[in-house]
Amino acid sequence: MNGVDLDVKRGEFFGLLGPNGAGKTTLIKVLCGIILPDGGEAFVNGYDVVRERDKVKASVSFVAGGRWIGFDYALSMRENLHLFGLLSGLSSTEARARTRESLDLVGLTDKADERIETLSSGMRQRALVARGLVVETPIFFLDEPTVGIDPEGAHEIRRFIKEELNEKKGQTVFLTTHYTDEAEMLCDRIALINKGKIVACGTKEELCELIQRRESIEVTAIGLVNALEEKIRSLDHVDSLKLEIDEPVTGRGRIRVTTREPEELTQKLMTVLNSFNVKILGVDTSKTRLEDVFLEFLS
Amino acid sequence: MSSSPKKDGDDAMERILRAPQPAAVGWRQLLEVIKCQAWFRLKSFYFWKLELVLELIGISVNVLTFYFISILGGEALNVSLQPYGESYVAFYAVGMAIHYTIDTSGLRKPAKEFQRLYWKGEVETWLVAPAPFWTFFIASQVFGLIRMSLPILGWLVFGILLGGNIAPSPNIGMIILLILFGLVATTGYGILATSTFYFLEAKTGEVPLLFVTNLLIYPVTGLVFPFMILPRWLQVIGLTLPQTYVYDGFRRALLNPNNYSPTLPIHNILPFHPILTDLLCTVPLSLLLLWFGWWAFKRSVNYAKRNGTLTRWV
Repeated sequence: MNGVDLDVKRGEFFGLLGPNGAGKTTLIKVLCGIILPDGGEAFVNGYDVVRERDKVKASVSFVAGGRWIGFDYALSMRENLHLFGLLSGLSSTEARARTRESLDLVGLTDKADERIETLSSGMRQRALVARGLVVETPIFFLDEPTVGIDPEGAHEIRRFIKEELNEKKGQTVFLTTHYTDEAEMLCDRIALINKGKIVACGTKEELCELIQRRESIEVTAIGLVNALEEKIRSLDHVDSLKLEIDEPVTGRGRIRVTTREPEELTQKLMTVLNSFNVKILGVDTSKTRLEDVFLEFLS
Repeated sequence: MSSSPKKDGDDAMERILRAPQPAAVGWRQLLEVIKCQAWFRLKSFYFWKLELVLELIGISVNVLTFYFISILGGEALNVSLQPYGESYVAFYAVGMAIHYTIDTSGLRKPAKEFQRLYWKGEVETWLVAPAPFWTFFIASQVFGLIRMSLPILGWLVFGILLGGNIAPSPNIGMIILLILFGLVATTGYGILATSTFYFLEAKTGEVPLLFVTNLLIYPVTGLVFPFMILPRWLQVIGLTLPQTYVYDGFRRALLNPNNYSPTLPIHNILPFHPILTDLLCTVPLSLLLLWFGWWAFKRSVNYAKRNGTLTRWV
């Protein structure tokens, strides 16, 4: 990591948005004291992450995402959470009560006594969130908490984090994600990270303002092929491009480009698509979204 | 591009205020952690019944083998073991009992349990939670002792059955102290061996430092034959290992506590009872090993934290 300069205020919902391998998890691990930085300085809850690691550990909850982290597969979910409560300084009675509440909050009460290895990946992810809830700390680090969870479950976890943790309890939340919608929906401020560097930081509006003069064109079509990407990118006035093919057989999907010259580019785009025999289902021109900012800064 | 735009704020003041204060982890919680962890490890040890039966069969066959070897050695062999109660089988079985206590459950556990923790992705849990990491090692040792208690009893029982009785009044106090400091010593060495997990990337299979110790225990500590029969250069190596003193003291305290005959060279140097001498040699070695082991382990964790190799998932 290099060139990371961030301040997160108490009670803020802060998002770190970046593609895979950008350094999101590394940064969160540095802030939790799991990785030691070889330079610079970082403070969490006012404590130095290198010199005051014990105080940092007692100040944070860390919810890792998408992997099998931190659970003993031979134990039930209740036992795992109970042990974590004890490790975090709760008495046995408190740990038991907090375990019950946490499992209830993530909707896993009926699975409490099942062994972790028998749960689906989505349920394990919920269990990780539940573990983070066992102890009430001022700061909550969430590393891609909704990866692998079904839409309904992801919505419920997002709602819980936003409303219960951040708004009602006033906990500072530091979220990493590569979902622009998630960051847009939840975060007060967002930092964009790429290749270990913070490339932009601000509220959603402030970030969008950075590329305000651009508009985005979204074309929904059938017959899209990957070869189009290079062809469209070579056109004048294309600032960013995203090609998504949902159905590989029919080539159904969408193309999203941002540009300063929407009218001129739309015409050229249609010409290219026609030359590839693409059947256009719809064209939508809209103002900048966070996803456009993301694509712009990371391209 | 730098991280702009940013809101103006009172970040410096936030740092100075340092509130809210994190909760401290007290001794009661630490004891709870140790109890809970040890219990959970026992609970998840699925095949313990079958494994225990097989282990006891193995021990009985092993003692029986050495019983026949003692017959081969004749009466002279037993007489040569007079400071240990004049029975080679008892000498051997009691030695194996203390070997199981401090080596099998003490020496090996830290490294093996840490390997398990790493590959199951649990290192992060322990390192993110405020409880100090040494509670993990203590919990592992408690589990190890509970787990090995029946095999240890097996060695003693089979040894007594085939080799004769223990002393009418064994020195229980010394036995307890020798076990305690023996465990501290082997745990210290075990934690030292665990540090190779990161330093030498010894993440699976044999732990290098444990391999060296295991290689030395049988030939140089007097585990299966009296220490004094060793050549001088092997004795010098043996005297650097705490096991030498613990095996000797434990056997003497259990089998023949009132005998003053020297069984280690150090007994001729220090003017104390041989069992007390064994204890006096064990204590500084155990404290030194524990300190050095913990120091090395912390260094290895910091080394891994700097390299980003601390946890299975980066």
